[in-house]
Amino acid sequence: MNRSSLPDRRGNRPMAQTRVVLLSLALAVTLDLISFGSTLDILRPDLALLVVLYWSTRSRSPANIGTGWCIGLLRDVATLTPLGLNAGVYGLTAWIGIALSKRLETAPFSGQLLLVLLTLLAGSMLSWGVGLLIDGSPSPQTHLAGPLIGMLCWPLVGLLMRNLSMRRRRSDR
Amino acid sequence: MQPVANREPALFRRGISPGSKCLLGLLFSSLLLVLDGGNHWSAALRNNLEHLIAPLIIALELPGEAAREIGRGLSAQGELLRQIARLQRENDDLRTTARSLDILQRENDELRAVAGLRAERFALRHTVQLIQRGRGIASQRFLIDAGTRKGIRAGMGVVHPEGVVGQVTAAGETTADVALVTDTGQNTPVELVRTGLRGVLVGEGLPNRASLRFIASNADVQPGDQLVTSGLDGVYPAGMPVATVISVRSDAQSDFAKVICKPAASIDGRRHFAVVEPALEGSNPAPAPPFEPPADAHP
Repeated sequence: MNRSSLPDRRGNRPMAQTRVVLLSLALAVTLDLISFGSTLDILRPDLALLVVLYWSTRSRSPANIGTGWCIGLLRDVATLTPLGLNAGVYGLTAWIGIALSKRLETAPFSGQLLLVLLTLLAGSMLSWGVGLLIDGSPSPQTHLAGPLIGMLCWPLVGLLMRNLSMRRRRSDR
Repeated sequence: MQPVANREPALFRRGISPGSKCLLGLLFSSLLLVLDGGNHWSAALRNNLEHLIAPLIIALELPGEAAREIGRGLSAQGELLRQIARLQRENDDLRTTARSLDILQRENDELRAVAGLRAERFALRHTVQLIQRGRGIASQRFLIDAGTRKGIRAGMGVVHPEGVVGQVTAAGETTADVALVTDTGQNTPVELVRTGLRGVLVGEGLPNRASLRFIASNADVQPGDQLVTSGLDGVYPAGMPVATVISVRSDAQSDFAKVICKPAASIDGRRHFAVVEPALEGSNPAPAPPFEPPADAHP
């Protein structure tokens, strides 16, 4: 049997997990694209980024840096940001997620939140730097608020993804 | 720190490492960032991608639109009556203003004829709808539902009955990007209604904030002064409201005053706008449908 078709240690089969990943990414992107008005939009977490980070930290997950990069590019087009800005941020976040996956699994809850905050901050700093080069005067508040809100939403995103994954596994059985 | 994909011994590892993939992704991103905006290829890529996701964005607007409609339907009757009374008062005021404007228009036409000036003509090109607002560093931009297929081109002005909104910066086949007057790099030639003083309104990339540049520190500018288009750029008709002065600060070390303004028209809560076409010398623009704010447009 091909190694890639074996279930992982959580019992997920790769094909089923691919469907869950695609479904969750599609949902997150869709929710991100719905506009609630300028004030609320600033306070909204970047759900697609959190979902990309979540799946990149899962072992044997089909989501990788390329997935993150493509989702970022889609967001660039949808939010009118310069092409490549979010693609770079999402790709970088996915890579950090892959690199930190073991630590995230073993770290206590507060440690997990700190690692997530640092990961999101890295992406945000990249975005801020590019904004500085292009725009000259990006607002630092929004670049700090994003990672903080993302960190606060991380437990909820984790819970939803786990539930989605388990429901899918049950229905596949 | 041991990445997941690197758990296997190096001898059995296949493909490129996550670090190299990340580096490659960042390189591609940098390339796109450098090419974006100034390159035909990247503009075509963006337009094609926008064309692909435009139906999704429009579809996502539908639930919000439906919710807004339901909300409007559930509005209290008292609120509606108050609004009707207010609108009636406004209507009376507007009628009075319209009468005086007619007189002024006649006087103006006579003066133009005397001076040998030809009245500027601007065609209202199309009524367009906002389909997506920009975020992050593009927060002072938005996407409209009309592109080159409907005659929209880069450089055209975008207005609302309240005043100037912005300018089309790039037009795809079915959508176009619009930069608000508050967007960094947006320069709008304006003049003060009270004194006739001319200047340039420059966007600062912040919501509801722009600055009036090249105003001498001893110039007669006061908070509350209205700014209208001077019509010098040929993008907007002259006399359209642009902004209101909210603060004036003179610095002894500078020859110019720092004048902060609030734009007259905002896109918050508004969905419909008109695209105006610059007048062409000697041309006779085809009559375009008059711009009428739809029933759901806010006053």
